[in-house]
Amino acid sequence: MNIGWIFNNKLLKRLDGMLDDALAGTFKAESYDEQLISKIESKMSTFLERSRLRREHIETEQERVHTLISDISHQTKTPIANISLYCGLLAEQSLTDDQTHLAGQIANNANKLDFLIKALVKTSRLESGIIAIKPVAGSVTAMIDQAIAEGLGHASGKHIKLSFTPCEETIVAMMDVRWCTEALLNIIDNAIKYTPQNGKVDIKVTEYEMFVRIDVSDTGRGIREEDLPKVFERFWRAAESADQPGVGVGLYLAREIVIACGGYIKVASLRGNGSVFSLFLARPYSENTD
Amino acid sequence: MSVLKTIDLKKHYDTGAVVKAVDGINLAVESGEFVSIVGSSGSGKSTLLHLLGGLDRPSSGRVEIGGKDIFNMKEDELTIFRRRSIGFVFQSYNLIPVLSVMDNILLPIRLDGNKVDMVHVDRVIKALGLTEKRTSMPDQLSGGQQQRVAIARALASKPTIILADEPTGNLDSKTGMDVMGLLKVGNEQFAQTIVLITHNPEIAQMGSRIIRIEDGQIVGSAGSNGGV
Repeated sequence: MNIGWIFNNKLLKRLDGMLDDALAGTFKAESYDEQLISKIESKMSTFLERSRLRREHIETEQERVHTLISDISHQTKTPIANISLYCGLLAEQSLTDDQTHLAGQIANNANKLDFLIKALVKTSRLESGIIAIKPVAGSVTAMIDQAIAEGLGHASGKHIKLSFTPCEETIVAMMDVRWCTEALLNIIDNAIKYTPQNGKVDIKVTEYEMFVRIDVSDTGRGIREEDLPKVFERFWRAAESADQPGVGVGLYLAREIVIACGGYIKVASLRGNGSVFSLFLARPYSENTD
Repeated sequence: MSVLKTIDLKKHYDTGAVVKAVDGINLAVESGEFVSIVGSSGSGKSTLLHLLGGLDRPSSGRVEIGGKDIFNMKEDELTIFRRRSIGFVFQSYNLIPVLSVMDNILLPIRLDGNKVDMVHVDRVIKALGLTEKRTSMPDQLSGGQQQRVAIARALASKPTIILADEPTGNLDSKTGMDVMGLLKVGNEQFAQTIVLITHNPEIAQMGSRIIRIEDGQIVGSAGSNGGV
């Protein structure tokens, strides 16, 4: 082995170490002299600093977008409430049938707008981490009972039987109760929405070694195979759902919540045979309770 | 950004009659995607996965991983490239029986002489529920647990892409769903790009995109192409 090789190897090792530090975010230029390696260190330092600034700039921009969304939602709250209020007042006047119909349309759309803005705010807050989801071990049946209690009103309006196949009361999973209830409720609401009158929506729990699975099955028209992976995308709606109210954020929000809890969500469906949405929540294991 | 791309990929076998196992597949997988490839047995899906992983050479066409044409490399270059860029999960778990769970997980990183990112490895081990099994030997684990170790090993080195070939083939359906769930969580939490091959439709639904192949050709695909 000659000196050149040893020197080269040492240099490469040093470079490898520098890159390791850069990846770990702990890089600092160590030497300031006339050697080439010192020059490389300085340049790398500059490069890393610039990337850091660029990243910070992007983060600031994102922050601004989220603030904007939150401002818009806040500022629109009062006008929307007012529109609804005046609509109600208008409807109490003696109106012709046509006028009543039109007032109804205004009220409907004001409600839609209200719902959309609320969903947007939730999504935005969730994405920006303003709302921190903290999964802790919680009772699965209690969470399901809560979601059913809230979903029952929507179901009875359509004469849909909302049932819960009993399971062990002691089952626990990692969840943020408030948000997971919202996720499950979104899925239940979605099932109710796409199930015809007198249909059924059932909830069932299965325990696996690592996950607890909550199935929400319906007797709706099902989802086309090519649409299956799209249903959780933000603002995605099936072409044939145009007649149903909604903006396509419920399932997206449900998915984000479940992922934030360390679980996942999936859907199985057969055209004409209904759909099964499955929520998988991680089971707490001893090392996770620290 | 596509991390995996195939261009008119073909694998033909000439055994008297020509068998077209893979017959002109063009596929692009985006960073962070979870793509399922489904097809019946004999559809060519396993051959495709072997080509994607550089385990087998194509008759014609290209496979690019991270923008690099993998069949342009020499055999020993390809071996190192595979170790650094691709994580494999097979039906058989391929754990080294004389190494502990932890050593099995760290093996590919150590083979490469790299500094182990213990923060990442600990996160992976925790996510896969293996913290208490770190010092166990493979033969002390159930099949599902062994496959979890194999998945942890694939995730630990932060590969460009994980290729999984019927990872639940040796597991009962309940354990299979469990193991797949962990792969899914790995995809979500670590933004790990995954290509999964399976004949099981329920398992395929874990993917954000499902590609169906028959007779060596893509016959259908569902889902979002690219990042959401």
